[in-house]
Order: sequence, then C-alpha cells, then structure tokens
Amino acid sequence: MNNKQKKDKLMLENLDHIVAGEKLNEKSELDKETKATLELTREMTSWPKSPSKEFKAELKAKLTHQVAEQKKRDALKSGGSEFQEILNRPAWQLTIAAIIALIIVAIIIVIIYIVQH
Amino acid sequence: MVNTSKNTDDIQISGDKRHAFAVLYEQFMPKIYRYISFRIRDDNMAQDLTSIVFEKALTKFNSFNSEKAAFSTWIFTITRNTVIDHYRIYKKNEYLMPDAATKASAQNPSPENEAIKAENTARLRIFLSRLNKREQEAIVLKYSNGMSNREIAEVLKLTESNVGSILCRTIRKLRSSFVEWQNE
Repeated sequence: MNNKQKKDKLMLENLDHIVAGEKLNEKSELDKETKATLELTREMTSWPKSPSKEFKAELKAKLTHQVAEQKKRDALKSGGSEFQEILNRPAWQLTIAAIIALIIVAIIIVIIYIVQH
Repeated sequence: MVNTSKNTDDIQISGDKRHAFAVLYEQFMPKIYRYISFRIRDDNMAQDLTSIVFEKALTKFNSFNSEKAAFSTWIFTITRNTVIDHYRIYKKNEYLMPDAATKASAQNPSPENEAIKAENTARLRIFLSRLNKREQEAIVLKYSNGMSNREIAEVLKLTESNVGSILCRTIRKLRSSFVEWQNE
C-alpha cells in the first residue's frame, strides 16, 4: 500500500465518523490538512432533513388508499369473471337449455289451451 | 407544486407483498426523504418528490426481484431518476438555492459567526454544484444517509474501491475550492 492509498484509507475511515456525527479521533494519524478537509464537510451532514410525522402518516394513508381502491376493483373484476366461468360449464349450459325448452313448451301449451277454449 | 396524482390501475400486489411493502416503507421512507431534501431545498417539493417515488415503487413493486438487487438499490435508483427528471423539467440547480435557515442567517448578520457560517454553507453548495454528476451522487448518498461505500457502489453501479476514490478526490476538491475562495 503506497502513501496515497494509506492516506485515502485513513480519510475514508474518518469520513464515516463525520457522517455519523462523531468527533474525529484526536489520536488519529490524520494530518492537519485532511482533518481540516473532513471538518469542512461536516456541515453537509446537517443539510438533509427528516420527514415530519404528519407527512409520513399522510403518504402512508395515501398509498394504503390506492392499494385498497385497486383491491376493490380487482374484487369486482374477479367476481364478474367467476360468474362467466360458471355459465361456461357444459352442465350449466345443458341445464339452462333444458329450462328454456321447458318454458317454450309451457308457453305453446298455454297458447293451445287458450285457442281451444 | 408537482402533481402527484397518479393512475392506480396497474397496482396489483398480493397480500404478502403488501405487507412487505409496508415494512419497507417504514424503513426507507425517511432515508429517501433525507436524500431528496439534501438535493432539493424546498420542503414542499421534497415531499412531492418523495410521494412520487413511493407511488412509482408501489406500482412497480411486482416487478421487483430481491434476487437481482437489494431493495435499497432498487428504490434509490427510482429516487435518483425521479430527481433527475425533476431537474430536467425545471432546468435549475437546486444546490444553489439557499434554504430557509441560510436565508435567515444571511439576513441577520448580527452574530458574526452566524453570518460566516451562512456564507460558508452557500459557498459549499456552489462548489458542490460544480462537481460532476457522479461526484455529486457519491457525496449526497454518503452525507444524506451515511451509506457505506459498498451500498453506494451498488446504487451507482461502481466498485467499492472506485467509490472510495471518488469520495476522497471529491472531498479534497471541495476543500481546495474552498481554500482558493478564502484566499481570494
């Protein structure tokens, strides 16, 4: 490991202290310039903000609502297709055909009865 | 304000995945917000963009494959692209916009230290904005969430040692710009 690599390694180790909000180790082998360089960037750790509780809850509610709406739509869609599926079964088709035939025969019988009387 | 309303027609997540998403939301939402607020100084805009990121993530969650990438890599990629799109639309550099605290300090220079601090912060933002995209990304990921170099490498699709080199070089570059400015 050459001198530059050693310096970089030391810098990166100490960078993690900076981003964790910790003080730099006084006994560290860091040279003055690198210490000053790292300390300069400490300021940047205060730039990001944390979300407010209200916003966090609001966004969660919004996403939950979107999922619930989709779930409803999915339930409606799958409900309709289940009914379609039942109607497509041969046994059901035969039953329905038989019922329709019975109704037609009944209507004919009623018409004949009415005509004769 | 950005319109965050979105068509939810294609949100199809199973019960298990819904639970997983809820858990990941709790874990990652503050991190995503911190990343965005580092880059976007306007609080309302940062909230809008965070909403957009999670709506996109929710919509695409079915296609997320944890065997291919970690969730953090996946969601930070969505976040980076969302912020890039934002810059593209507004064509401005948000790093240059002083935040409310900086503005207040600059307007009230009575305690000298506050004024100096505000000036230094503004300068640091200017120097940050002059870095190339990759250097900016590495810095933002490091300073907004204290990510490890490995995590940053996954998000930026670089090697860990490459990230280390970029961070060292960039921090030195910031320092040298700063010293140059002070000596002017």
